[in-house]
Parts: sequence; C-alpha cells; structure tokens
Amino acid sequence: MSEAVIQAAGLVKNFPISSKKLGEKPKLLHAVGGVSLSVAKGEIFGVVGESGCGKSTLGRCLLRLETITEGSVSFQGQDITHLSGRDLKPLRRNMQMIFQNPYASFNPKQKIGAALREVAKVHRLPAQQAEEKIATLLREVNLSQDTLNRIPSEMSGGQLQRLAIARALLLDPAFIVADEPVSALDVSVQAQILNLLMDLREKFSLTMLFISHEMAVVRHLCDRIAVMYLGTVVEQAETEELFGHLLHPYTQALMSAIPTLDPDHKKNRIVLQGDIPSAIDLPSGCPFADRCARCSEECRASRPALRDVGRGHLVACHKV
Amino acid sequence: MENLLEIENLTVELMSTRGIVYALSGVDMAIRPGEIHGVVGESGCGKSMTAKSILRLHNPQRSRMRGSIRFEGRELLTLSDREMEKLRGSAISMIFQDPMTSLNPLMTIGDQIADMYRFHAKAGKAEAREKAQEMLSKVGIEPAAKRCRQYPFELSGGMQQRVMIAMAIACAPKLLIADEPTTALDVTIQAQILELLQQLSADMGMSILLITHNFGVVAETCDRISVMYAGKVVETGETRALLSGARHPYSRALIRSIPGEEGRGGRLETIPGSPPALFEPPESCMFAPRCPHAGDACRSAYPPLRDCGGGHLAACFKSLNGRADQP
Repeated sequence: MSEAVIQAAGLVKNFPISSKKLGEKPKLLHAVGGVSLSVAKGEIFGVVGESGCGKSTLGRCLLRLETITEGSVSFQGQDITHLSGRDLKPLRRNMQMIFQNPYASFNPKQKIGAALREVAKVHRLPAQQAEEKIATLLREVNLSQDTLNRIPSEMSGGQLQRLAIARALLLDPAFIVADEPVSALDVSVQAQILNLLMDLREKFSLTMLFISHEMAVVRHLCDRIAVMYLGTVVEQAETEELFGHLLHPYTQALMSAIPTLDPDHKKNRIVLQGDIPSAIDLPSGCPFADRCARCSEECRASRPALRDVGRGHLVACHKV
Repeated sequence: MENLLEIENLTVELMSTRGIVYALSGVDMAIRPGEIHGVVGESGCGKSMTAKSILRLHNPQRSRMRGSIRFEGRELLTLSDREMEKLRGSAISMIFQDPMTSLNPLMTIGDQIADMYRFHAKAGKAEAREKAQEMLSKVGIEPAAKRCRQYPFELSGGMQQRVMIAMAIACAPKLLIADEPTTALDVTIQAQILELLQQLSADMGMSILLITHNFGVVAETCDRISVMYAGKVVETGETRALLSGARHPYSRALIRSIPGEEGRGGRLETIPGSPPALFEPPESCMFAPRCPHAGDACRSAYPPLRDCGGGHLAACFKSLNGRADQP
C-alpha cells in the first residue's frame, strides 16, 4: 500500500455532558471510542453507520476540528494531535471538508464568486492564479461561469453541492472529508454528484474520507469501508471483500435492513430489535450485544477487539 | 373491486409571492381497500401535496382545489368543514415525517393519544386512557402502562414514530396516509416501522398511502406504486410489474439512477436538466425537455394516463416496452 495521508491510532473523543445537579461530576458522552485507521494516498475510504455512531465526530477529529481526548492523529507523517490554532492553519489548506447540507454551507447573502474568492484570500493565493483556478474548477463541476454572480438561493441543491466540491478543491487539498455529501439530495441528483466525484477522483487523485449512512452509496464509490457502531469500528475491509463476506452480525443486519428494488428481498430480512444504546452509559461488553441474535455470556463480559481474519478483513466479534 | 379512495383530475393552485404555483395539475389515483399504495417521486413533485389535499389541509385563502376526491363514494372537496373535521383522524388519518415536531412536547404520550380518542369516539377519560394503553402495546411500546406517562423527549425517534402510528390508528381508520414516515429514521429502525405498518394493514384491513422518495421502501412494502413528476402521476402499476418494466421514461431513469448491486465505480444513469418550475400550467408533457425519447407529439399535448395492459397505467406517448434494464 502506498503512503498513508492520514492516520489515526486509538482515537478517542468524549464530550462532557453538563450535569443537572450542582457539584455532580459531569458525565461523558463517548462519541468515538478508540478508532485506528489510515487512509492511503488516492484512496476513498468509506465510513458507514447509523446516526450517533460517531462517524461525523471521527471525520471532524481527523481534520482537527475537535480536540482529541486520547490517541493520536498524524497527517502526512506529522503528528497533529496536539497542535493548536495558529499551528493548524497551514494544515487547514491541505485538508478540506464537504458538508451534508449545501444550503447551510454558503452564506445566503454572499455571491458565489465572493464565497470562492474568500477561500483563496484567506490562504493567500495570488488573485490571478485564484481566478484561473476557479474558472477551471467550475468547468470541472459542469457549471457555467456566470454562476459566480449568483447567490445561493438562486441555485438548486445539486448545483450548490457542486460548488461546495469546487470550493473544497480550490486549494488542491491532500485530504478531504465528505460528510454525507449526497444525503440531502434526490436520487437523480445524487447520481450526478456521485458520477462527478468519481470523475474528479481520477483527475485529481483525491484522497477522501467519505462518511455516509447509505451502504449502496459507499459501496459504489469507496475502495475500503469501515462500519461503525456506537463509536467503534466493528468491521473493516476492502469493498469487494466486505460485501462478499459480511462477517459482523451488525453489518449483516444493516445490509439486510436496507430496502432494495427486489420485492422478494425482505423475506430474508433481519429486523433488529430495540434501539442503539446510549453513548453516555456504554455497555461494558460488546456494544452490539443487546441487539445481537448470537450474543452470549462472553459478549456481555468483554469487549471484542478488532482483529484481522485474513485478506485484510478486520472484524470485532467474539463469534466470528 | 370498489376503490376506497378515488382521486380524479385533481388540481391544486397555490398563491405565492411570485405568482400562482400549479402544485398539482391533474392527479389521478385510486386506492383499493386494504392495499398499501406507494407514491414515489423527487422533491417538489407533489407527493405530499396530494396527501394534504385528501385531508384538505391547505389554507383555503391561499389555495384553489379542483377535480374530485371520493372517499367511499363521498365527495370530499364539497364536504363542510365540520364534516371534514370528523373525518380527519377517524376514517382517514395521517402520520408525518418528523415525529418530534408532530407530538406535543408538553403532554405525556398517553394523554395525547387519549385526547384524540375522546374527541372522535366521544369516550370518557378512563376509557380513553385504557385505549391509549391498548394502542401503545399494539405498536410494540411496552410496558404500555408505564410508557403512557412518558413525554416525547424521553423516547427515541423510532419510538416516537410508533406513538404517532398508535395515535393514527386509535380510531381504526380505513385509510392511513403516511408521509415519509421513515425518512428521518435509521435503516434498522426503518425496517421495524415498515414491518409494523404492513402488519397493521393486514390485521386491520386498513389501506395505507405510503409517500416516500425511496424506491427501495416501496419495493418491499407496497402492493401498487404511483410515480409522480411535476404535479402529475406519470405511471401507476403493480409493484413488481412497475419495477421490472417501467413504461414511463422518467420512472425508468429514476430507477436506474439508484446505486445498486452493479458494484463499484460504474457510472450511474442521470437525468439531464432539472424539474420544471411550476409557475405555468402544463400544456405539453412536463418531462419532454429532459426525455431522450421525446417527439413532436410530446411537445404539443399532455399525454393522458393510458392502460398498457394489466392495470398498468402510463402517461406517455412513447410508452416504453420491455425490461427496465435494457435501453
């Protein structure tokens, strides 16, 4: 495998919850509970999971938009775990983010052109060079040049998401986190954006962490996938390997719960009982134990570690 | 079979600051007793508008409705406000996408269900409270007696949606309108809710109008499907027939733009252009500007819904044949 652009080791992120009683020790919400991963140059790494599983927090930690509770993050070989404000700025240029809601990603009163130029200005890109770059990127994302004189409310969601992608690429970042970039879009628009991302990835050899709750989208786009549940990675493998051999009971249930176009599919559907447990009082054993059909004593007593079962396929389950 | 609900040539015009919006321009739809009927389409195509029209939830000062909506043979558009009020929540009820904003945050869920039941069934307090418990256990919220005293914020999204369903079915409606009931929920919870809806429909002989943008949801849940585009139904048919052999170019393109089993890296089919703004009433096929098959006929007149055999209707002059996976 080629060099890792970003690497996380034992990454933990807890958020304190304000306590209701005076003098009571604040409780902790365990958003990410020890995740190790590395994304290689030119790779699209997918993170899937349901809401509250910590996938967005993981993305934000890798970009150092959050402080890190434990563990370490390194970017292009440099340890960035404890860098603060000013030291982070040169890194920001190399790491960009694309968000879920394109309407919330742009200032509604600001012209698109100004929004794009601002990025160049903040990072001291010469004006001439910036203009050229913006023009090229607009062509790449299939938007006309007069888009620059419009304001966000005159654009559709799909068009704005293209602009958000163009803005993220403006500084030629080495690493991009895309947090549910197609979830707010209609399927036909979603297809356009996915096609666009695949084109851009070839042209610019993008390195990306792609966060989504939709298996089908991740499967379509990503090289490797990590499935998260309650703050931990429960299964991780290359895309073909993962979908060829779903090993973790949660991944299996998640896959079978996804409605497909085949009306016969639901006969073999595994319907999970109950909800995702609270991330405040974590169960001591396997986080999935309460909803798992194969759960035993062992699962409740100790938390299974993520281990390699061959072919680079990692799984955290006592029963596999 | 006699239809439970028949919508014929329904048009809805809304007054906006930018002029009249032709939100629905001639919707035809029929729902049979006991069936789960899916309505699919992209944002702004009029799915929710159709649902709201059935219950007449539009502001009468800002909208105009024409056409006909018959429920068990009764015309709803000419019903008095009083009679309409009786119908809402009893014979026809509705659940919405976001359960948190549909529930009153300051009332226990038991009280909310009981309140609704007392209004429609003219029942006493004690009876209504019992009914609320019975309904909660029916939708799988246990132990019902304890849960009755909880507030919406104490429940998860999936549980809140179950409460909404419990409230909607308390008066044993003949038709339940579910407007994107699982869109705000995670897939594993979505599977639970869809299963619950199917089971309730079978147990109570209740028809469900299931509105969603997700083709997968309708494929697994619905008996029949209507596909909507720009304020009209463009295709209606049995789920299986429609998914494997969509006749309308829009339905076909929509089905093919879904990332599926074909694996990684393949190009997804996209639809060029974007849906029309609805500021003018349609005179030709609304899909024609984006349609690869469009001809002169398509640009001069609107194609009516025609039977292509076996109750499969499509509104297209060029209605396609053969399987959807072939061009």
